[in-house]
Amino acid sequence: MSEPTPRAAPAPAAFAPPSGRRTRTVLWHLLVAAVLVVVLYPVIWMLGTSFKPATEIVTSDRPWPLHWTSHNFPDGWHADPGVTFGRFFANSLTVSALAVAGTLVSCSLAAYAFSRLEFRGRSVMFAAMVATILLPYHVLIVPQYAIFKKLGWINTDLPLVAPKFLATEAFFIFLMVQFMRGIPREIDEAARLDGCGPYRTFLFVVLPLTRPALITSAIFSFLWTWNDFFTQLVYLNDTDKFTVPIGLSLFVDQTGMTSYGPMMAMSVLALLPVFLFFLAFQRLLVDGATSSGLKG
Amino acid sequence: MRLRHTAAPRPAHPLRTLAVATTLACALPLTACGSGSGSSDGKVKLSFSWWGDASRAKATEAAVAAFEKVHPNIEVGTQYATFAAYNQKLATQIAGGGASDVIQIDWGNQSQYAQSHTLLDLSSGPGKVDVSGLDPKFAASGKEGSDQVAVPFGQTAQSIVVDETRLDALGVPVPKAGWTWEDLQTFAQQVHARSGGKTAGITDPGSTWPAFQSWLLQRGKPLYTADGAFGFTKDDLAGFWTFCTQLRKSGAATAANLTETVVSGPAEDPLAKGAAAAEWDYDSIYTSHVAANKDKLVLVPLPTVNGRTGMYAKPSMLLSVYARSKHPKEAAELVSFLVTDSRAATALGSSRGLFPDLVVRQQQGASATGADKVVADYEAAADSLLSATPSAPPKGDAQLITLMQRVYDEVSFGRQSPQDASASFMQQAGQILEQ
Repeated sequence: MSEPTPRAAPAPAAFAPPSGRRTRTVLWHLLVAAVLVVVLYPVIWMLGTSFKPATEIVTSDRPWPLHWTSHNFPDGWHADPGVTFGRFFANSLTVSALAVAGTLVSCSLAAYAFSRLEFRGRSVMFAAMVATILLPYHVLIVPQYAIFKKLGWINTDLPLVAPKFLATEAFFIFLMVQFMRGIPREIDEAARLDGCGPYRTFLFVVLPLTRPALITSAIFSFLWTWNDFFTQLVYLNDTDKFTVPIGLSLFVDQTGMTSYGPMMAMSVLALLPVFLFFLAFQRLLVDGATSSGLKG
Repeated sequence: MRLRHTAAPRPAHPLRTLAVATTLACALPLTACGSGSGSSDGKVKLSFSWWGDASRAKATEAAVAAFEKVHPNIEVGTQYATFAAYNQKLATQIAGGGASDVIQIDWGNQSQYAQSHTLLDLSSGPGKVDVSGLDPKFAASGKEGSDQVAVPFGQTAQSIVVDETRLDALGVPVPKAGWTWEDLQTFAQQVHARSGGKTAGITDPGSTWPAFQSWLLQRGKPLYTADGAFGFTKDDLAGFWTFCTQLRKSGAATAANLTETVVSGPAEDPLAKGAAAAEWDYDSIYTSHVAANKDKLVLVPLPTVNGRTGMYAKPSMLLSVYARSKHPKEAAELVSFLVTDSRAATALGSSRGLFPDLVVRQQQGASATGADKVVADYEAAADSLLSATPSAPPKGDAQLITLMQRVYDEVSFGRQSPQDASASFMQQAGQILEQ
């Protein structure tokens, strides 16, 4: 995530005139800044629009408002009858937190089994597990819906959360398996000689060394759940159980006026947790990658 | 050397306990939250799902509350989403066997759901709904063969929304009912000329599938035949597009890049931007046009051919009872209430188009104000101009709406002639209909 700053090969000052190098650095930074503006334009537009009055949104092309208003935030917060956006945030946080917890616990256990333990049918099961990554979601949704309907789980958080505790996220298992395979077996062996069984080896040896993979999985699991729309739409029926993505979708009315101002205001708020989550964890990610304890 | 771990003999390991606990935690609610239709307090619990936005949510909740007041033994839980999301969700629910008791459906999906026997016949049996208060021709729009699989939940009709303020400023008179396509051409060219080329007379209707339907009906041809095939030929479509192309090339209709924005809804279309003085749309969208526009807007019937407008009473949406509903009788009572009771009409307002029951509609029209009054007056005046409501469109209609937009883009951007484009449309559309 660091900004690329190309340096000319460290040459003695006498050979590289400093003015030429500075020009190049300035040019490079200008170029990077220009690309950044293009990339960030939608975000800037969203931020600006969230402070625009309704009439200005469709009539003006300028990304920032002429007349500032903060009405969009309370309007968006109270847009739906009988429930505030705070409720949607609480629901989304619950679902996302449980999904992260479930993914970490179950996928690391499964990955440990696939990478370290030997059992009958391991390679077949591993292949089957990887194959599930290839299944398009829309193939699964109807049979899944039928199962959850039979279980009486419709209109609860369970269809969104329970599968995560059963290691159904094959992608994360695969990621962790690959990572665990990179941990030298000698470390396990040393643990075994010290009297650790498979559980303790997992808990005290393999798991701490897998931290970077765990953090990567946590970040992606959080992002995917936080931004997931369709699963949450299908399984949640009552307005007070809705999550943020469904809440945001309610602003879009096909036939009538789409309330862009409130929608953008709530989108800005919806991005905050994602941003903070990433900010908090990416430090750990870098940290974990450099201190994985795998010295010669 | 490989380590071979065997299953641990220790029975009560903390991690294993955790795993077991997790599994149990997942399984527990199995018994805790059983299926929702249980009636511990003796009340029948119905579910009702529909699409719309927050303002329609308020109106619908009020109508449901009025129903619960009349039927204290029934409790109705509602669920809603926006149109596209709702249809995806409904398709999943129906495939998975878990749709609501009462479902709002789009006319375009009616035959598809009816053919898979997911909609209860409301003409007889436990789920009988009395539709005698509705115009029989309009009520028939919910029929598939002899089965009444749905009841229309709001009426709309085709119209031209006209910006009166702008026309006054330009000194162009507002078109009158009974005008022809030639009149439209003259009118639109006048607007273009007098505005100095800034405003087109009309948003190019060439990409609008239902506008083409009315064009056909005026010439005595249906869009679809009774068995779901096309009722028109390639030349009919080419004729429509040639007319639109003439308009566009003279500046009387909007340019391609503006026409494209019609799909994004009234707030962003050429009429709201002041780039067109008139636009084809359903009258149920009039309120949204008014909200998006500072100018005074009026509704004018479509241009005619030999006095025929090709307009018809279209169900803006319909109500059905799910075939697997456990309470068909109560579900049918809710449907009846929503389409015939004046208390429902009061609560619903005009958010779904004109109220289905004729007597109640008249009362509602008499007391309407503002934009609602304009629509009610327009429909009352247009009533004698309406053709018979065709039967429900075949499966694939929704795809044809987008196909029409896509293929017409080729014409309006000048990449294809109307003839070539209509041949290409017929070929692609044929494949969609055969699916």
